[in-house]
Parts: sequence; structure tokens; C-alpha cells
Amino acid sequence: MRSLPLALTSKLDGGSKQAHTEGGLSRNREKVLACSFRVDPITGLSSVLPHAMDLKEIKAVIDLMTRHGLSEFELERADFKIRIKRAPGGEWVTSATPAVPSAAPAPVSLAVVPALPTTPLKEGQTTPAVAPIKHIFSPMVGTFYSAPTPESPSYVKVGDEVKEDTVVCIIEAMKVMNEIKAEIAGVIVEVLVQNGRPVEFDKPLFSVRSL
Amino acid sequence: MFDKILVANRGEIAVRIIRACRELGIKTLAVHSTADESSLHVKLADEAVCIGKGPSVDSYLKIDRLIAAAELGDVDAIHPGYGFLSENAHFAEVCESCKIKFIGPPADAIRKMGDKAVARETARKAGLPITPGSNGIVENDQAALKLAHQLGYPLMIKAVAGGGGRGMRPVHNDVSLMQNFHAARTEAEKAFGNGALYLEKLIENPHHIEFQILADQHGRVIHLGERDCSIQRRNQKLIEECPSPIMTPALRKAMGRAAVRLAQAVAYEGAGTMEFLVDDKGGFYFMEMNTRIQVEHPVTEEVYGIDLVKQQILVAAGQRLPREYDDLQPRGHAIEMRINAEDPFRDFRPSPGKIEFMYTPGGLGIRLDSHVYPGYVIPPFYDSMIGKLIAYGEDRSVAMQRMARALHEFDIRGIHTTIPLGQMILSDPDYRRGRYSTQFVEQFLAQQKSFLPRGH
Repeated sequence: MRSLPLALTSKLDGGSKQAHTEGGLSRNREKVLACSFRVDPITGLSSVLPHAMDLKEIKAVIDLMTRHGLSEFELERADFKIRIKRAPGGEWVTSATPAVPSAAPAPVSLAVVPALPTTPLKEGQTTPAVAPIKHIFSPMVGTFYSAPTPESPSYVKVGDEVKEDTVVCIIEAMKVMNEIKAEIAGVIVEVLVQNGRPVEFDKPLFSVRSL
Repeated sequence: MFDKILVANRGEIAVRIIRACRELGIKTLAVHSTADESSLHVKLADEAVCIGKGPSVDSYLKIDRLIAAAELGDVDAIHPGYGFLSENAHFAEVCESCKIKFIGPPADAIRKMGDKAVARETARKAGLPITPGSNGIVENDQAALKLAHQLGYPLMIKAVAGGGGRGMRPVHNDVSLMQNFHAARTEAEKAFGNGALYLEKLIENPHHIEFQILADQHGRVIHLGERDCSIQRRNQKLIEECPSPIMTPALRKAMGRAAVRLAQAVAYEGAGTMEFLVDDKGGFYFMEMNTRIQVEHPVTEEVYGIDLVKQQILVAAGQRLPREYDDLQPRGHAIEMRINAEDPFRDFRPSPGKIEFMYTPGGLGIRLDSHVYPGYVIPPFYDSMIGKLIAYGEDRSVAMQRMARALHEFDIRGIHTTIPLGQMILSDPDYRRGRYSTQFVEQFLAQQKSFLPRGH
């Protein structure tokens, strides 16, 4: 059984895909004791290698969940359990319970919960309509700024309507401030990056519900 | 010493650089395209940043994004590997202006050696024998014709901005010279952005022998012997070995001295390779210099016992080359085979796709430098090399035995590879006797029924 946390995407797109999000680039990195899997190339058996890990893999899972609209991820083994969940306010919560690592491979259960639609129910509406969620991805590498200057209000906030040419943020690289346009029309559902954080190419910046 | 290095490359060389950094206690920042998200170098690095879409021009060649990633990661140095931006003088200058150490020679040395006609002239001035040819650029076909009659055929038309086996056309008479001159110009314009050409005498049945040099920031230059890279198909190397089967101690001394002299002439720093053609009378001629680490560096490492990539990093950090490097001697013999994801029986058609299963060879004297693993999907955007298999032995005979044994064990399923071709070359009597030139592969393929073009 292939049971990398990234096995999520191997079901969705047929190949293993590892995305990297913001963070992990500063010198002060949190250490989370977690387990990752190796799949033996010959036998196909998975074995657990507990090791102190930086946020790279956790953030990879978060990024994948964002792309696919998932809100909860839980991985449980005999000696280890981790849950990654998006709280109602939008923050990500990670809880892990390491135990004494076991030498023998053990079966794994994965539970993945898709995000519920957030359209508020109107009176008389029995089935909520679910409009597709799209994302605005970073077209470059740099530092994300949500406002034109530190004193100004943000370009956009949750609930704002954007058109294709609406400036939604600035990405700064090599002292050049680049205004980033939405390139899609809709309503901002979520701001996915904190002000001042580094972003890589293709990083999801905003969730947008098309109108 | 550097705290963190950005690895500006992908594939097996990125893995190689990350290995050296890890051993030196240096943190690594990998950059990758969207197509390389599952790549091994991304998994092995301490940090990773996506810098663009699959095609190299949208990612690995984007200087602004590389520098942006370097700034985000707060790196001290960038290792450019080989290919991509490793011989791009402008990139070296941009790194310098951003106070990031470019692990390699100064931009000026890159520029001088990057223009193949200038490199020839620089070598000539430094006293190196060069292939008889034009004094710099040949302006037009009339000038080419005149020169051709002075030098005599056969000749090679070469692009000054070429190198690495690209932008070369052999011509055997006036007709083919006129025909190829214009075609070569257009081709060079398109491929290198520079259509300037020069002419060289075509040396028949040469050995391609290159010398590895190391230079520190304190003016010291040493050489680590030669590699014989004559086994090539269409000017792309397939099998390399160290030492060369035709080398003698006297020739090594003379060629080594020449290589060191040229490096000193351009105030070189870091690892570099001088390529020579050697004819069957032991005469050697400077061809070009590569101002970067080369694909085939492992065979030198095995025979001379030195980690070349580590040395690149140490030298870039300002360290002096150790005293003991003054008198290095080769010990044993190493052979490297490049494994490409190509079908040798269908005109070497590229074979991208998923590696369904892989068993890699091991045992004494076997080294595999590769970035692929079972389940990995080879992306279609980059060159087809998936790894290098290196066999070492106390002499050439043992090295060949080990290579044959390792190739027999090597099992890759899901894609085609050039492993069968390697096995066939290794059992060829002429190859085994060390009797081959740069014409070997073409002649070999023409003789083997299995490589004959299929009827349409």
C-alpha cells in the first residue's frame, strides 16, 4: 500500500505530486515530530520512518487540500496520529501524537473530508447551490503583500467582488513591486497567504467563487 | 563557509550537488518547475521553491525567478550545475551584483571560453597547439572557400557560440562547403542567437580526450588527468573512461601542463575541463574549454579519489587547494555509461513516461548517479538522461567486467533505455582492446542489423 500523505493526489491525478507552500524558508523552522512513509520499491510494502521533520510535508498536504477544496485530513497508525484541519476562521490546525516508533510496518487508515459549500442558505431555498471555487495562483516568485503600502487597507478582502483586471495583491521581487491582477471574475472566498510571506510560482493566493 | 546554497539545476546533477552540500553541512534550496514537483532533488533538499512551468525557458532559465528564490531563501551561493545557466556570463554577473557567490569561474573567463573562436585564440596565445583552422570568424562563403584551399579538406564548420557538440558540420569538398556554410549560419542564428562561424581542419579518427582542472582563488591550478570520451553518437557522449586507453605518462604530462597553462591565462577559478582531439600519432590539439562541472566527472573522482563537487564549493568559499593535490596519480580504472530514456532500436526515440519497476545494480566498484525511482514519471521537457552508471576496478579489464555485470542486473521497466546498446558496445572486441575513435559508434550502429532503419 502506498501511504504517503501525498497519496491524496496520486488518487486524483494519477501521479505523485509534491507541492511546496510558503514558509519553510525562514531560518527559524518549527520542528514537528511526525512520521512519513517509504514504499519499498521491490515489495511494495510500506514502512514507517519516524523522524523530526520541518513543516515541508505538512504544508504540502495543506496546499493540496486547498487546491482540491478539502477541509480535514487525518492519518492514524498504531503508533502515530496526525490531523490537519481548517478551522472556521480559515487558519490551519495541526495536531500530532507521536508514540514510540514501532519497527514493523502496520496498516494505515486515511480519512479525508471534503469542504462543505459555504453559500449561505436563503429563505425558501432547500438545496444550497454550489458555485465552483477557483484560485488565483502566483505568476512569480517573491514576497506577498496584501496592500499597496503598510498603512493602506488591503487591495481585497473576503466577500469582495473582483473582475479580471482587479489588482488583488503585490508580489515583490528584487525590490520591484509587481501588481498582480485577478485574471478571473468572482467573489473572494478566502485569502490564502499572510501579508509579508514568501510565495513560489503557482502558489494559490486567493480562493474565488465564480459568479 | 556557506550556510545555504541554491541549486540552480535539476535531475541527477542537482542530486549530486545536494549530496556534496549535505556532507559539508550546508543547507540546500532546490528550485523546480511544476513538472518537477516529484523530482528527487526536490525531496532531498532542505527547502524547495517552484519557479515556473515545465519548459526550461519558463523555469530553470528564468534568471529573475532564480534570484528571487535566492533572496527569499537568503542563500549565500548558487551552484549552477551543468547546462542551463552554468556557462551564462550574464547570470554569473547578476549573482555577483546581488552579492550571491556564483560557484564557478569569473564572468570574464566564462565569456572568453564561451566564444569558441576567442577560446581558440586565447589557447594559441597561451602556447597550446590548436587544430589548424581560421584565425577567428569566417565572414562569408568566399573567405571560407579561400581558407579551405589553404588548409585542405576535410574541414569542420563550427559555430562560435556552439560547443558541447552542437553547431558543427563536416565538409569534404567545395560543393559541400558552400552548401553547408549558409545552412550552418542560419542554424547557429536560431540555436545560439549568433550566426558567426569559424573553420577547423577535421581530424580523422581522433580520440576525444579532455583534462580536468581545479583552480582556487589564490592562483593555484592543478589537473586531475584525462577522460576519454570518444564513444559518442552525434557528438553526444555515451561512454566515458578514465584513464584513456591510449594515454602515456609523457603525453599526460604534456597535455596536463597545457591545460593548467590555459586556466592560468584566463585567471580561472573552480572546476573546468579542456577538451582536446588526439590523433593516432599522439599529436594533440585544443578544441574548447567547458567552464563548469561536467556530466562525466565521476570517472575522475573514482580514479583520483577526490570529490570534485565538494572542491568546487570549498574553492568558491575561498579555501586553498590542498598541498597534496600537486602530484596526484591515477589509481585504477573507471568507466561511465550514460543511461538515456531512449529506444536504441527505434532511432533513439525519446521514451518519457512512468518507471513501473526498477532494480538498480550494486556491489563492489559500482556507483549509480541518478534521480529516478520506481513510480517516477519522466517529464518530456528535458534531456533524456536518467542516470549514470559508473564501474571502477583496479584495471580496465576489471572495470569492464564490473560494468557488464552491473548492466546485466539493471532492470528498468515502463520505459526504454540505452542499456542494451551499452551492453553491446562493451562486448565489442575493438572497444575491449581500447581501439576506438569518435567514429566508433556510427560505424558500430551501421554494422549491427538490429539498428538498421526499419523499412517503411
